[in-house]
Amino acid sequence: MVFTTQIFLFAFLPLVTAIYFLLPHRGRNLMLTLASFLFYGWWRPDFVLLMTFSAVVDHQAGARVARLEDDRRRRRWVFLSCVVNLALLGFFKYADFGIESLNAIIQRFGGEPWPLLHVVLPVGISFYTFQSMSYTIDIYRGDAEPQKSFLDFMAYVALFPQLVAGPIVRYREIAEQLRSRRHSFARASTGALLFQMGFAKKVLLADTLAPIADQAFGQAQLATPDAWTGIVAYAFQIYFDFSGYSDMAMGLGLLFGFVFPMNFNSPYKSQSITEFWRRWHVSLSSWLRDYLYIPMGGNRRGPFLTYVFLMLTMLLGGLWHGASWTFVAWGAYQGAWLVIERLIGKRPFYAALPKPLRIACTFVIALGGWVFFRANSLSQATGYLMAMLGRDGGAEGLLEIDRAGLLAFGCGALIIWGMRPAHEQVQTTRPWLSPAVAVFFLVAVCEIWFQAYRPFLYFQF
Amino acid sequence: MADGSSPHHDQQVTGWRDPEAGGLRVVSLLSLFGTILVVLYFEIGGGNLPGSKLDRVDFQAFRDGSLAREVENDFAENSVVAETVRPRYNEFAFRLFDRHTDRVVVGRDHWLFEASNAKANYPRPGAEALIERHLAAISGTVSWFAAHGTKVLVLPLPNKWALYPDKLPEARKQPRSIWPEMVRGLKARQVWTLDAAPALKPDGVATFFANDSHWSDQGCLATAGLLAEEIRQRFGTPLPGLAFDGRIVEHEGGTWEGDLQRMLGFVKDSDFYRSFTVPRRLVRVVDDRGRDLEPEGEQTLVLCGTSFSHTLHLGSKLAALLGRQVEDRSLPGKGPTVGLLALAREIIAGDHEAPALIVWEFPEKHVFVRKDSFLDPLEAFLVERENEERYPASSRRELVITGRTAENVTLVDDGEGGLDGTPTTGDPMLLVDLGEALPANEGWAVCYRVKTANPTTSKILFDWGAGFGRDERCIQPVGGRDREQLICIPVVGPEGRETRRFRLDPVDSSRPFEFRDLHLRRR
Repeated sequence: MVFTTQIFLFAFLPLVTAIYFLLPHRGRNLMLTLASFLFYGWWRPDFVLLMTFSAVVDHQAGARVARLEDDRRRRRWVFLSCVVNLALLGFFKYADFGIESLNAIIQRFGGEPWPLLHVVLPVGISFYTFQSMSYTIDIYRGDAEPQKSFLDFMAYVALFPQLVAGPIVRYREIAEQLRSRRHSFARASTGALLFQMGFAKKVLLADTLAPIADQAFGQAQLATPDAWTGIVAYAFQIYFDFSGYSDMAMGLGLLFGFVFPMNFNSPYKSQSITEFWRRWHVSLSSWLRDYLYIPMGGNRRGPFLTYVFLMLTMLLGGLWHGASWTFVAWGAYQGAWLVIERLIGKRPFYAALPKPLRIACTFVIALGGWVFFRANSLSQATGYLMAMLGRDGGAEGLLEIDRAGLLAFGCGALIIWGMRPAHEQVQTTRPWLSPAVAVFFLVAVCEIWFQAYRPFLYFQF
Repeated sequence: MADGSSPHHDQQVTGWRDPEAGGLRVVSLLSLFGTILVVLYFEIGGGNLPGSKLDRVDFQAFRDGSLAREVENDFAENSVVAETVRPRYNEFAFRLFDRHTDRVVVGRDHWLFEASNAKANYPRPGAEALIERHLAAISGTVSWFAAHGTKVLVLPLPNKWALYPDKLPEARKQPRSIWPEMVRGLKARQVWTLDAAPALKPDGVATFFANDSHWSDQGCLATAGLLAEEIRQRFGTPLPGLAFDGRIVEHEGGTWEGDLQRMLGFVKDSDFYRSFTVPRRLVRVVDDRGRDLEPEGEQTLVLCGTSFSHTLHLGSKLAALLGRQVEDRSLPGKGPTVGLLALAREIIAGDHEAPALIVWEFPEKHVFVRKDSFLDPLEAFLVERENEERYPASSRRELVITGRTAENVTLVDDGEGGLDGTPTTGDPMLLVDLGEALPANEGWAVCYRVKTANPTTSKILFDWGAGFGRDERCIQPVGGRDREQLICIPVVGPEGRETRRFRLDPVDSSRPFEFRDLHLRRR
């Protein structure tokens, strides 16, 4: 189910909220789990079994890791948990990509290609496998206590507000709240506010800018100004789409008493790529740091290996986003910038510039990355970058931007560079905020009947 | 109301600090749940509950998610609130932000275009190959009629998009149209084709309505004139058929509300909606007392066409200009092949005499945009005719079947010797074991009849000793439209080999189908 559909907003949400608050405390986790199953299984009920299987394995592994004393045997259970989760992810997300890549080599040598499996990707599998896997690892490291109740653990894995597109919530961040959590008027109303902000960001900004980016990436040739306009539209689109989803997830969490970690912290205000990765998709970058980069060796094995580990982490982070070489290229691009910044003293080469220019330079570098992220192939990405550099020579003025698009650009820029991030704004008590957001929410509700259906970009990851 | 974990704990773990419950904060709860409750109140009052429009619930639809999508779409599309709010919101969004449905392109001077027209344009990967297939299918169909003594005049109509580029927004001006390729290709294949572009070029008169995807009365009349001239040149005088005594009159005729105008979804009859309405100069065919006149019955001059021909009566205009009765078989909203192929089948069945002339009109957009209503049925028709001729019914022989299993499909006996199939997951297939060997390449074909709603393909994979091997020659198109079709798959394979087993995929689709009469025929 998708947050910005009528079925979610006018059927699922009111029903679940009403039942939740009518139930006594002890029934609420069960109720949330069942609601999450309905939410997740709405389009493909059989994938609920897959998620439950992953949860059973990790819950069992976690219990064994906590109970056993022999470190080797504990490691085996952690290993099992990781293998099962990564195998699920590998099969469902990367099997066809692997076969396609292999076929390209086989065919070069005149061999017969292998048939593709046409595996359907379960929505959100990248999120819940990472989330579930971290549970076992945290118990092994002594960072979390095992959850005795499978029901509460299942509620953690399946929790519908953040199930399909994050933020990736670690077990230890939410363990206490699963046992008992705070419900208050202030928290529920703040949740409602945050949900509405996210809803409006997604529907009014991301979905308005999407056709502009689609047009730009749909052209065979592009003039330089159009190429820049298209990629800025995409940068705004992906930010408002994904951060809008995160706001909605956090808002719904608050409504039900949960506090999720913040996922976006004004990333386009970053003054370097290193800072950008501390602000963009924070739950993923910190997950990769804690469960991949640091275990590999982090910066403890000398500068050269630090660069290698950084690069590897970003390559895998890129691949996590999608089974395509364009995502690998995006990871490599980001990794390369991180390495460059480390090489010249953990700062960007434009560190001497005034702050607004440092922010602008970082944004432009991020735009280069988004080209790989959005393109359908590496050759399209290269062509697009050439167009941005004035080497493509398409006719000018091929992008159709209506007044709503222009307004979305303007409002988007204002929100990105002129305002604090949503999770900070809602923690203040500015009197105008709630009524203003309510107006935008109402317009966005009208808009969902008006627009063509546009799912969240991060659903595909 | 507060219970559970402390705010201090939440702040420590996630950095979150609950704000104070300010007075206006209640607005957020009210606006979220108030909106939900108001909408629900009207939806429930209007009988629009999720799932209330479903007539049946089946497990397969539940499992593959199509049921969920149906519930979602029904709930959204039948919304009582949206019905009231949407036209006003559409108007508001258009006036304020220039926004409108992406099915319509709003050009200069309020000229409207169908957005899907753009899909028919170059550059597009595989376009040349697709055009080739279309040309082959069109010329094949024309040849079939020619073999029955009927001349076919093909009238592909250029898109409004291609005729009025100056009315398009700058960003939408596409560099090329497929129109010239189409006409050149058809003429190169000796297909009698009339290039209607000269008649439809705007030359002081609007040949298309500004607010509609179709031509205006003047565009229709100009095309009828061009057609009449072409037909006279080809047939000379006297023309075949019965006389038609009607005359054309032209006068001011009120206003025209176009399909594209309606698609914008504004409040009907509001001033804003009416600003898109255009004046119409009516062209009518009348008898000597001024009454509208339509040609009637089966004739030897036939018009097969789409909503273009149907809505503004191209048939009667052509009849008036030729002075001959024209049988109008144009159908709105069904695509350009239904009428033509129905006529072909009537000719085969002896229900209609082969006419002297068919004018076959279709708009350019069908060539690329609606493969299922154009290319698929034509190719299926041609293959079926080829099967009937290449493998005569007199060569029929029964297959000796020793075993048959079905995979990915539920088969139910229909009580008349056939099977009703409902695919489950993957490709529906029948694995057939034979009691006798079938030799490769000796002119045998495995034949059967299949019927399904949507165009698809049907195929057989023969086992020549190394498992089921796919062969492009063993795949045939199925026309769909719930019409039974004869499929004859040639038994082709490695020279000198025999097969005792094959896999038959009746349809390459997840839609239900009917299957019967599995047998052998020979060339």
